[in-house]
Amino acid sequence: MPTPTTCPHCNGILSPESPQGLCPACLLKAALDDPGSAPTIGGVGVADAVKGMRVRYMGDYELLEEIAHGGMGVIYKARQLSLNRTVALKMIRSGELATEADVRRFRVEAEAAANLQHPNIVAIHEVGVHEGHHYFTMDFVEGRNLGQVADGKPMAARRAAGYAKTIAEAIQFAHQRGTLHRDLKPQNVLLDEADRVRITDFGLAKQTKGESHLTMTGAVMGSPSYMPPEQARGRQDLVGPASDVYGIGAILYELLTGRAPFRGDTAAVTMMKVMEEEPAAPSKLNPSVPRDLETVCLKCLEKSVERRYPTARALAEDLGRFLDGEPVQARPASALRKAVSWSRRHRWVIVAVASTATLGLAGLAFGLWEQTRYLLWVNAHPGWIAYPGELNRNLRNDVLTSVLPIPLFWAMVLALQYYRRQSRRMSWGELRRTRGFAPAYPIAQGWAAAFMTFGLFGIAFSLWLVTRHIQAYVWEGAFPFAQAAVIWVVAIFSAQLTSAVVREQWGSALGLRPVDDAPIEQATSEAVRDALVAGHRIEAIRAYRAQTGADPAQAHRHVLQLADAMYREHPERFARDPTLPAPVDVRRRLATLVLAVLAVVVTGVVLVVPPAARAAWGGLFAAGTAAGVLVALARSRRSRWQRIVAVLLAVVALAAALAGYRQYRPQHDAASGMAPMFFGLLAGLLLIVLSRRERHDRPGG
Amino acid sequence: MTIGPDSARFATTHWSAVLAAGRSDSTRARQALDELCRVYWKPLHAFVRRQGHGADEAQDLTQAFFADLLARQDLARVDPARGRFRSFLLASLTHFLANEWDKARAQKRGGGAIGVPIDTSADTGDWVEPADTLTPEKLFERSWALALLDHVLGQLQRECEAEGNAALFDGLKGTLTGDRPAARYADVGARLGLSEGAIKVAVHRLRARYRERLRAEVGRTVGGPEEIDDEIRFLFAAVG
Repeated sequence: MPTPTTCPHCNGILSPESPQGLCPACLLKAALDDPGSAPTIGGVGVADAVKGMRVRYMGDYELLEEIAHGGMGVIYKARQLSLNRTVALKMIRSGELATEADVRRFRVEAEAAANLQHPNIVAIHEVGVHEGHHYFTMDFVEGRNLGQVADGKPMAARRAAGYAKTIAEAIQFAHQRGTLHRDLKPQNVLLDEADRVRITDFGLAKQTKGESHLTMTGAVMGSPSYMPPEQARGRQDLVGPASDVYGIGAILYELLTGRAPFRGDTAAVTMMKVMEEEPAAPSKLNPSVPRDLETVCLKCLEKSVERRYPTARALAEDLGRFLDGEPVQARPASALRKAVSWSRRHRWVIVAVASTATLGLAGLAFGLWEQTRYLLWVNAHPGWIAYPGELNRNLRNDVLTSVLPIPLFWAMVLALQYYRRQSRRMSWGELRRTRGFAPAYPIAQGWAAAFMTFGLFGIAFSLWLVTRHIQAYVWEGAFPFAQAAVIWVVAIFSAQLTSAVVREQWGSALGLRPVDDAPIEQATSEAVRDALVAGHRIEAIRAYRAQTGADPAQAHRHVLQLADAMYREHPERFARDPTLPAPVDVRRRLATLVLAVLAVVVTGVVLVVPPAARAAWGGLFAAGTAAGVLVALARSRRSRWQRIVAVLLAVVALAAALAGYRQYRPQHDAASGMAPMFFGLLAGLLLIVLSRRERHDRPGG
Repeated sequence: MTIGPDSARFATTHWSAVLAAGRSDSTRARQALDELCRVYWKPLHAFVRRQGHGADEAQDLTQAFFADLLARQDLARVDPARGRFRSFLLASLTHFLANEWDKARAQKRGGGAIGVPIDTSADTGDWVEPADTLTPEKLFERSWALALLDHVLGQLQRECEAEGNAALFDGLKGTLTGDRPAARYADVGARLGLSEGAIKVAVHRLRARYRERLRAEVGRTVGGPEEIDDEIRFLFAAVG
């Protein structure tokens, strides 16, 4: 007789006559209707009521219905028959009760919460095992969690502050007994019928006063949107009471603004934002938030542990002061701090400034040294007159100094984009959309070395060229300014590439950045809904496709259905009917149109004006700008012939300008004429990019 | 092995309609009833055996019962609203066994009626525990549930094979029982040469079809759509 196998879901024994080798009970359960749950995107819902299933233990429990599932446990509403009371019973999903570590973790949760008798903390009753299922029972709270109460809408400030204060006091109680919660979020704070706060799910709790080795590996658990940065980074040594303070701050933030402080399409992107971005100020999303409360909230959400409230009690006290109308102790960030946090987000500015400074200092040092030599020479050779001569000529004519920098610049830009594409593992389109704002994965050592070497080469080359220019300036009183400017830009981009590779590849090699690309369904569903509410239907469809892998037409249909359902349910949350086609952004269109017309006009003008005007720097710059605008427009046009026309016009403008230049200044070669055109091109591209820039962090609603 | 038209076409034929039409002896209605009986012969057979009959005898008796059922002209008098096909069959069988107890093996087949070929190759003959501890009625219900599931899954499998997705069905049928661990998608996808996204879509579709089929099949045997959930729960308890 073959040994009976068991069903991975319910642990039941599978007899030989089981249909297709599957568990009949689970098959039937999967076919039950699910009337109570909200519509799910993708439609993969699980059966709901499992009535009449009896779990016999000393005080026997009858499971009534499944309340929730997530993480590693399922929570049932159950009746304890011996005492005839309703309790919540949390059981580990049988399929996942694989290791002793899981059991121990489960036990730790139960024990952590069992030690806490507090009116605002859900009490544990008993822990047990039944037929291999580990479970514990706790108070059943009839009510909703704060996430449901907030429901995506801002709440009155005083009410939110009141809840936060109660939560802080309860958490303080837990801290005093040596337990951290570590997974504070609105879904874990319940409100019972008396509107009393009940904190639950100490699922990731850690006994700070005892030995607990379960999370020593630094495994990152919990929901990323509300997770403190040090936990996201895996810095377990920094996790402490202030981490729970962050959690309370995140809850307060959601109560005040209706959304979490950080959200992304996937868990990985959300964690990036948690670690790198500053949260949008609550008053921007909800103007009625009092300044003091906003300051308190933002203080809780500080990235650095030292800057937050040191204890939950301190937070509770400040909230108390706010509620009493007294001044709070928290101070808003000073201008310097704001500048620092801004520059953290805009790292490229730092790199640009640093590389400019380096270049400048090196140039200065070299210049002084060269100046000394020059002065000595002049002393030895009286009557020497400095004029633009051989050194300048060499700079202008030598291919290495006059022609190479521009292609080198483009190569640097390309290399930077290519590196980001490789390290983010995205396609070009995704990269453009997210601006590379995603966790950097480790890339092959060889590639990292190649990128870094190339960047360093660029820096070295720029430095060398700068010295040559300074030499020319010192000895001859002049130097090709435009060329020098191009060198400067090359230096900046080389520094960007080098710093990016060093920062990201070394960091990930040392394991300092958590890499997790498993999307969280909840977050993605939220992403779809948020996008719909904000009116970004394309984004919603994209997020939906990312989750379900549906083809575009199907995704479009489903999302429209969802939009329709949501709009019917909560029309007040929408700025406008989401099922209607998106309105055209008139202002943007107008700006683009005006620029396009100007570009065409300038091109026409360049064709007809005499060569003298064309050759002037102004003319070259204008031609370059026009070409830049046209090229940028060409990229964004959908119709093929429009793109072709735009590119042709751009080429015509450049060629005409160049021809005029050659005609008028034949003694100079084309290279030095390229510099002003090059900058014109950049200017043109920038104009278009800035006028069309999408804002990614639009507040929901 | 099926003789007669594809069962899927009769999926929506409600058993009450079948019985009502039985009075007029339409071939299609007969075939529908035939189809229903074919799916559920096993529980009947199990019941008869549990009553104490030997293997051969049970087979004969079950065959005779079917013949009798198909030959009956009074089916139209049965009120489907008062019960389900399952209970109807069990009651009929009990009644039949009681009446036929002393009679000789029925050689008579209804004139021109279609004989129901019983596939006995699948009969293991050996009902292992926990069936041993069950009463004949409990055994019947349990076996009914298993036969239903077998039928639905077999249908689904045949459909997938017809579409050329046999490997897909094999790989993904494990997801029909409930929550799916994410890790398996990558494995299955690798084996079948599909992306994870495509796998997810396939799973979603398969589960939706399975649900549809199962509920349709259950719907065939109850008095109305509102009873489907109840019947499923009943069968769940019968299996558990």
